[in-house]
Amino acid sequence: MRIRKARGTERPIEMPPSKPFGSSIPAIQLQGLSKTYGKGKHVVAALREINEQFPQGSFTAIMGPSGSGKSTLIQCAAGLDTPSTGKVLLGSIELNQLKEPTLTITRREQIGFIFQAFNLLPSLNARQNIELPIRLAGKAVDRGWIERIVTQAGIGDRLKQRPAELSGGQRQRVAIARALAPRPRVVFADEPTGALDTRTARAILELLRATVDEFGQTIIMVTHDPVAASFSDRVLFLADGRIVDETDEPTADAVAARLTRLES
Amino acid sequence: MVRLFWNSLRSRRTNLTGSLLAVILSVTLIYASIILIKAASDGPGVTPRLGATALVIRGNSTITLDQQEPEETDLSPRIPVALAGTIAHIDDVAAAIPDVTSYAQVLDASGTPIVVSAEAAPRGQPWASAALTPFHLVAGHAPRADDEVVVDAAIAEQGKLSVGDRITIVSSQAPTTYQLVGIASPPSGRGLERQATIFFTTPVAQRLANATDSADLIGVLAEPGTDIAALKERVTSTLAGEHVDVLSGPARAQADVASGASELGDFVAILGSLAGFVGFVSIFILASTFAFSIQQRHREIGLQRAIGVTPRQLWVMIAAEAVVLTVTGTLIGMALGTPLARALIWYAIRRGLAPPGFTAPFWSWAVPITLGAALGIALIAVLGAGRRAAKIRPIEALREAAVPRRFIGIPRLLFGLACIIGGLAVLGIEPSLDTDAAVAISMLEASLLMVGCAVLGPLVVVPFAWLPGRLLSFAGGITGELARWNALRMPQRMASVVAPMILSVGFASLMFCLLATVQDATTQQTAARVRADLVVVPTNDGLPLNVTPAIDRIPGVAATSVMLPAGGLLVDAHSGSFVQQDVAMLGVDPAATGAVMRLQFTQGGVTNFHNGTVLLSKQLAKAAHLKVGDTAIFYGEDLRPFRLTVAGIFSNALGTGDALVPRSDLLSQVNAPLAEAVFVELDRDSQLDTVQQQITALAHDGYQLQTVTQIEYVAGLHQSVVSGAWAIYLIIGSAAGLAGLAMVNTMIMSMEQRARELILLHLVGATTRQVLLTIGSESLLVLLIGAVTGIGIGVISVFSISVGLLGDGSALAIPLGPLAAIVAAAALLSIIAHIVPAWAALRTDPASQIGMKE
Repeated sequence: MRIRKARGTERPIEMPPSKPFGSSIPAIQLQGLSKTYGKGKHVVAALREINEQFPQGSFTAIMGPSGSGKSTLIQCAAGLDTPSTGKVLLGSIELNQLKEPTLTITRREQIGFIFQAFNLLPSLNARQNIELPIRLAGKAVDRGWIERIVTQAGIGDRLKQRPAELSGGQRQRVAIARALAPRPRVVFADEPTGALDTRTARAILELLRATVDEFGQTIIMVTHDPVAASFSDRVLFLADGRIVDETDEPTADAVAARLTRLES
Repeated sequence: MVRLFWNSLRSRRTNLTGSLLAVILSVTLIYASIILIKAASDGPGVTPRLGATALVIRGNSTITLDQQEPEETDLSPRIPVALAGTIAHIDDVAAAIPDVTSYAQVLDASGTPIVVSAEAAPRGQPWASAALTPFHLVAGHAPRADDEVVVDAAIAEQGKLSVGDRITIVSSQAPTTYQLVGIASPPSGRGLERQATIFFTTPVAQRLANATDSADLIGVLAEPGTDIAALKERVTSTLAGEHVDVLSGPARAQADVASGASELGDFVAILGSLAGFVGFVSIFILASTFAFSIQQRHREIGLQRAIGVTPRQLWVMIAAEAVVLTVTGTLIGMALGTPLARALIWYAIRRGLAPPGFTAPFWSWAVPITLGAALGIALIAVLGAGRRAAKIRPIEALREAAVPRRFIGIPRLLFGLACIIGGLAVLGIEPSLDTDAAVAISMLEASLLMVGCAVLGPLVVVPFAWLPGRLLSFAGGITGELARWNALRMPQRMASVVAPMILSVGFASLMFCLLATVQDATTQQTAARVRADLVVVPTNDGLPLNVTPAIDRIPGVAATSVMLPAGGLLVDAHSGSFVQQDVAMLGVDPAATGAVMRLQFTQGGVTNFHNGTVLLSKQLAKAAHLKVGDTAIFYGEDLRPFRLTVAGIFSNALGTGDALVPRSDLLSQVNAPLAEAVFVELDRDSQLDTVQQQITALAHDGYQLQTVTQIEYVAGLHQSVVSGAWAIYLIIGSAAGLAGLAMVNTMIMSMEQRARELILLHLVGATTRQVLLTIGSESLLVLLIGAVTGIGIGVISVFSISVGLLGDGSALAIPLGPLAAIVAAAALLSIIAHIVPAWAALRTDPASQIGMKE
């Protein structure tokens, strides 16, 4: 059991054991990852020779100016897109070699994804949305585990409501709960707080932080918000499809400064 | 603004295609109907048989009852031959020739009737009428004695006849041998296209036509160089007091039985119904398609409002879209309408509804009329959608999820309920008599109920999603459950797709149930009513009435009753005007009626049925407010009244006509005394086979008959019963097809709109197979709702009229075969229209769809 206080807060949180992945293997490895679009004269290189490792239990933020390729990066890393060259390793599984439906099956058990918006199926209520990946996998729902996440996410009283009846913040919480429900090896988040006000965004980020600290979750988050980045352990800076910088001590100011330098 | 409009259109290409196809199909049908109606109501315009005449005089078909306005009827009475004498004295009249027509057909050497062609009706006329065409002799001479005849060259060629042959001719008299003394042909060829003519001497022709001193028409030949218009005036004023029409020019075709004018009238009526019904259904379909497309563009419209488009400009844009769609669709539809009209003409000629050579020339007014009708339909359709669009506030553009509107809007709820109540009210209407009225009422009722259910969509979807849907989730696992929640939680979505399915399955099942019920009801009632052991039926147009004595003479025959069909009118005892245009009367032998028929009487009976009395069907008696003992006033084919006392009222009337009249009372009223059947009741101890053989032996004398048992007779009736069946297939079938098209289109549009949701489902962890199973389950739910509701409404509509048709109990026939085929077709379309676009949506790049690059 590890106890780490959430950066910037003093709230001790209950601690269930973390998931027993072999913590020596990185959750995600990118090897020589490149992605180009188009042909001939109109070729656009979105990613160029990315090599990176994301250890188990880490919280990484990926930042960069628009057009830097950060969305493409996590799409390839999450198996939503295939790289032009290179490898994506999920643990020891070579993700880019998997075909449907194995790819989908692997993703739903091992990868969680949180989008900026439009995360939830409109005709299902919160609980049904949360349990959906598990039920699609044909597995039994672990009620106790769901209870825990739901309490942690603070939406325990909203489970019977549908997305249309929830606020933006509540929807994101449901999305996070859904991402965590199958206990995936890694959770990707694409601008999870982009559409939220500061206070709600903060609460969401604290929740994400808590899952890393308490559940040992691995999170890879794309963001443009320096404050959001400050919740992570490490920030990678992307520009023109390459990782150009990184920092292990992300404070909001430092991150903002580096971003500005990149953009100029 | 215009740029906005075009861009908006371009981005919804696939959506617009479906609406366009619907417009094209409707316009094709409507345009074809319009040009055909115009051509047909102009009449054939040519009168092949009366070409040599300047004027044609015939009986006026209006009739004035006591203290009433003159009423138009379908019947044209005969006129006194003496009028010809009067006309002949008018200046410039070369000849006034009275003409009668009757059925007459030549038998060839082996005793088979000679058939020149399918369209050429075999007819007999007096030789004097030859001058009306004119026919010229090409061999031999005119008939001088009563046993001499002249035939047209077509008959002579077909039957290999030559002058001097002795030939047998069947007609309304007993088969008789005549001497062929001449062959004649008209200017146009060997014979008239629609008539195979035999010329008799005048007394014989009159006898055959049951017309001693009257004529069907008088043809007037004028001196060369006469001014026809002036002649017409003179003749009209001379005949001022007589009840006649004087026809000249193309109008003469109305009097020419060989021109096909009256059949064209039927054709016009059917086409009119087609155009009207298709128009009505298209309004509804286009309205729901537009409404759906507005609903799809909810956010886009909100965005437009947010950037400053006013509601009024929005109206204009939507109306403009409808106009562009309609104009494009109309142009294409009109191009397709012409070949369709040609196909309908071909079919009509084959069925004898139109004369050979009938064409529909291009009518310039048809274009603006069709365009106007199409635009009218489209703008009515877009009204509702436009209102909804104008109400969208700019804020809607910013909302992430579609905020669920009220479950169902109040106006829509009220309209839907009004339709349902209207439809149920129609249930209470008892159709009067004929099948045509019953069919129309059932179509009205079905339409009201279907539109009501379609409009109340979500209210229909929810109960199905709740209970049968539970089975789906039980059987289908997570995919079935997802389908159920989609239906239960967002019923408006499924309702848009269910509505056109209700219409298409509903109309299709209405069509088949209607025909099956009427056929079965008629057959059942006939089977119950006919108790004769044998029925003698003609193999040609009809049997001469004097075949009965020949049958009576056969040992073993206990009673015979001849069935003589006739048309006429009946006066309503309360109002003094006619009950309806056509009363189907049947001349029977009163003494034998009780033996050969088993009538279910509600009042009176056969005991008092004798000459001077009549038996009425329950529906006719009710419509005319007559009861036993009252005097019924009939008008026969000659538009002369005859009075009969009501002796009985019976209830199982289908297939037999509405009034049973003693044959002798009817005979003077009938122009063509040909029996449609002779019912034969045998002595208890006689052998069926022997009697049957002996009756069949009468054929050696030339009678064109065959004997069938009661069962075979009823079975044969089954086929022919619904004469307008093809019209029902055409009209209701078109509506079903239109609705089917809309159904597929709406399903595809709906799936495309849900692309993002499907991809999200995939990203959340559903394999392609699971997504398609979910959508497939939804399509089955749609099928269940649409099929149960549609077939249910079809059956209810037919049930209600079946009760009225039969008077007691119901003979509702549900043809399982065709219904199963309909359901199968709907299932196939539904599944394909759901799964193919869903599959296509899944193949797109998930990233762009899911809005990562939003």
